[in-house]
Amino acid sequence: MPSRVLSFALDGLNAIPAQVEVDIGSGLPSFSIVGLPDTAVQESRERVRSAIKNSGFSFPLSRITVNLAPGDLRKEGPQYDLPIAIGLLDASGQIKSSFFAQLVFIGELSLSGELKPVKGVLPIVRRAKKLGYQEFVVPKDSAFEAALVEGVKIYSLENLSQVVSFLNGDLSLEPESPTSPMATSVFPANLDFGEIKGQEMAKRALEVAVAGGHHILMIGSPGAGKTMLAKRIVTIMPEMTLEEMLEITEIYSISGLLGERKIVSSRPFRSPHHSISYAGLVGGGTNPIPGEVSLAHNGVLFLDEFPEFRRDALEALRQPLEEGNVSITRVHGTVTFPANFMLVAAMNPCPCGFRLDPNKACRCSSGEIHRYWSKISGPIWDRFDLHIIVPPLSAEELTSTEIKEQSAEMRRRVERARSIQLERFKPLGIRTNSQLSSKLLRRFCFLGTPERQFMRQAVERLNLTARSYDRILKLARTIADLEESEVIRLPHLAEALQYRGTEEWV
Amino acid sequence: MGLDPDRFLIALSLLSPYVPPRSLNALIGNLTLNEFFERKAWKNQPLTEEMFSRLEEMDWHKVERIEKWCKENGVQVLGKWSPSYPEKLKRLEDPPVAIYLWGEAAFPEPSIAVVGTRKPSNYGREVTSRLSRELAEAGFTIISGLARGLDSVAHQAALEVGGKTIAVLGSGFEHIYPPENRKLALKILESGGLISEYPPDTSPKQWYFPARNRIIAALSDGVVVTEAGESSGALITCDFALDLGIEVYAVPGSVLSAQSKGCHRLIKEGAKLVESTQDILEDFGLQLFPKTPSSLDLSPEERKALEILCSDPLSLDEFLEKLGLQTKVGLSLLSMLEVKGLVRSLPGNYYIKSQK
Repeated sequence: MPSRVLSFALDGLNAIPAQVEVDIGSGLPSFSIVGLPDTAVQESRERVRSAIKNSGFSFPLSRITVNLAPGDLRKEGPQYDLPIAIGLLDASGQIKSSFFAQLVFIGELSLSGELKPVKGVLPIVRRAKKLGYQEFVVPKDSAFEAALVEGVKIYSLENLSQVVSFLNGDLSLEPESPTSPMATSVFPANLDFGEIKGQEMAKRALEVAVAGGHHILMIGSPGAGKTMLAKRIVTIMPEMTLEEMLEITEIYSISGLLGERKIVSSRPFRSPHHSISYAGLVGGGTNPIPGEVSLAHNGVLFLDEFPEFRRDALEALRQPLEEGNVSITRVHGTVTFPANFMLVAAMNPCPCGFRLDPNKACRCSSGEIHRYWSKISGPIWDRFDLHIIVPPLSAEELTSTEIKEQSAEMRRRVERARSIQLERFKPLGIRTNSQLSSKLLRRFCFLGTPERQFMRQAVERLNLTARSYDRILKLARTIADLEESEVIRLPHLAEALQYRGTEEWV
Repeated sequence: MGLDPDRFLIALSLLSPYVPPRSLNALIGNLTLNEFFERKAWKNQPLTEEMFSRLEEMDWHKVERIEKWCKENGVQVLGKWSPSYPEKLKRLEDPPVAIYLWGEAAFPEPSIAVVGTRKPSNYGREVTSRLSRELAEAGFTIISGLARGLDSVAHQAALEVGGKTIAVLGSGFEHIYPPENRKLALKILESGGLISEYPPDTSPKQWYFPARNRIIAALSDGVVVTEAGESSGALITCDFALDLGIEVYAVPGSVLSAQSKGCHRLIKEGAKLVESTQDILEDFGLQLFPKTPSSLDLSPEERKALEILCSDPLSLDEFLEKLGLQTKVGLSLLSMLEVKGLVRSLPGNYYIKSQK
């Protein structure tokens, strides 16, 4: 009778139960693993052999076959070391009890038998729980992550011999206490909008953008403070819920980026360099791993030098911007990662960067400027609800000592506006004004007579297109929400008009 | 071979991208079209090998195609001999032997060229826009080159006040350059016209543009340079104007700005310094009618804002500080004034009081 041990395989963020079967038969001594293992799984033979020997057990000198079922699913990573070792010890009669049929084993072994943390523990435990699995044996260093999931029993152990004595009942062990209460949303302590001098329009625009979940394009000379502004956006975003924290922690867990922090408790701010590849931005690889768009999930994706990004990478942003997730198709199937982020892009007004600077001369020819701008296609330009200019700071502004508004104050307004939107859109399955389709727009952005008249004039005078008209309505809705006003009034529309961006800049 | 004069003209214009207008004029001399295309006339003429072969191998199918295109699009071809060929062009030493005219046929008097740099400052934009508006309102036809930057601003401003404007192209009509000005070109068609000495299928070449500047100069009764750096193409237009004895006007800028160096050189060399439209109008015996200030409903805040936004462009931050306004209130106030047409926004978060 082969011995059976339960583990899990990850396909993207999706966890699939994987049976580890170990059979010891007669024949020349050998050790083979079947069931689509990758190199890391193949090498597990050597680790398991040494770990068993160095933990004081004996390695059976027989023909050993390990099967990882289901056989058509690719298995990767060293996380099967522990289940294989347990299966082997069980099949060779070195474990007395057999009560582990319900236990899920995850862990890598060192040659001395220590249990090492592995990637993706959180998504495995979360999804296994949904499938009805309750008890997990994990390496000590992965315990915090696993115990974030409520309502499951997590047993954390340090080495192979501990696991065996635990299974034999020689070691009594309490399940880890839940760690989720320790998870509270935090904000980067050293960043605050209060530190930024000047740039009042940009700050206000960012507040509006965050409040309504709008994407924003900032145009300004080098050194005007675009990056400084962008970095502080997370400080005015609403606190993360536990669910949001788990969503993003999962992604970092399978990417192996969790490291020491164990849980991602502040909203991510990702700013990839413009030389990033397509796969780096949206995710990819033979066994797909999340790209920057997913690592920025529930946070900010900041693309500086926006026109310098590869065209195909920019076009690939369309799906996540529309659907909040990204699908990567491979020969073996499609993997979907969440990618719901606020896109913040920054660019210079011309290749040399000084076109809007009153104190420096721009060295670009008009053709160069035109080429630079034409890298941004119309559809991409339209994804941004706000287009603002970030002018260079004057000397007075740089030296002013006036105390500006703090992030916490701005965040309070944003949170109120967000909760108004959540309430309003509850039956529709959308969360923010930015997600309004043009049909819903007519329903939720109703204008009174004076407002309609004003917009008619504005369309004429400012040459607004149909698309920019819709954008202005959405923004006005968000501005009205910030003021906690039920109806959109003239000042709301008028302010929204300032964020429109025009062809004249080109 | 038929003797259709239009066809001959098109055939002649097909030579224009290859044969300098001076040689083409010399070649034609005082011949009539028929005489010209009878080969005997070519003898004893200063023809290079290339010109000769171009003449010999004239692609008459292409000529037919162009003729058809012109008919379909309402484009006229005017030869030097045609009665509707603008008299003013004949002032040139080397007038185009044929021009293509798209839009209204008339060349209303008086007309003035408004030209400048392709990379204007906010100041240059503002001045150009103001001058061409007021000149167009005073009855001038605004002539310019449809280039990026100030040329476009000049055309646009004339159109905004319902004035006439003519664009002289350095390419054929099928290749409007720069491409982003196609929309503007269509608007110009409705209230003026496009002119080119090149057949419609000619794509733009660098050296066509200085050549078209002589047409801009010759069609005008005066040339205004609103902002030009030291090597601006607008200065070429001025050189042509001076050769023809046409008055050159130049708008001064900051002495620190490299973008006004060309204008300042013109002024030093004797161009008339222009501070306001009146400086130009007085030379033509015209007067700017003072406009009655419109009685708009303005709130006290709007009035105050307008007082602050006088003629110098003001940055948003300065504006907010001077009025002591919250950002959101200031932004919405500016939009209100923009929509009422009292304030215009300039690139880089600058605002300026509008003329009207």
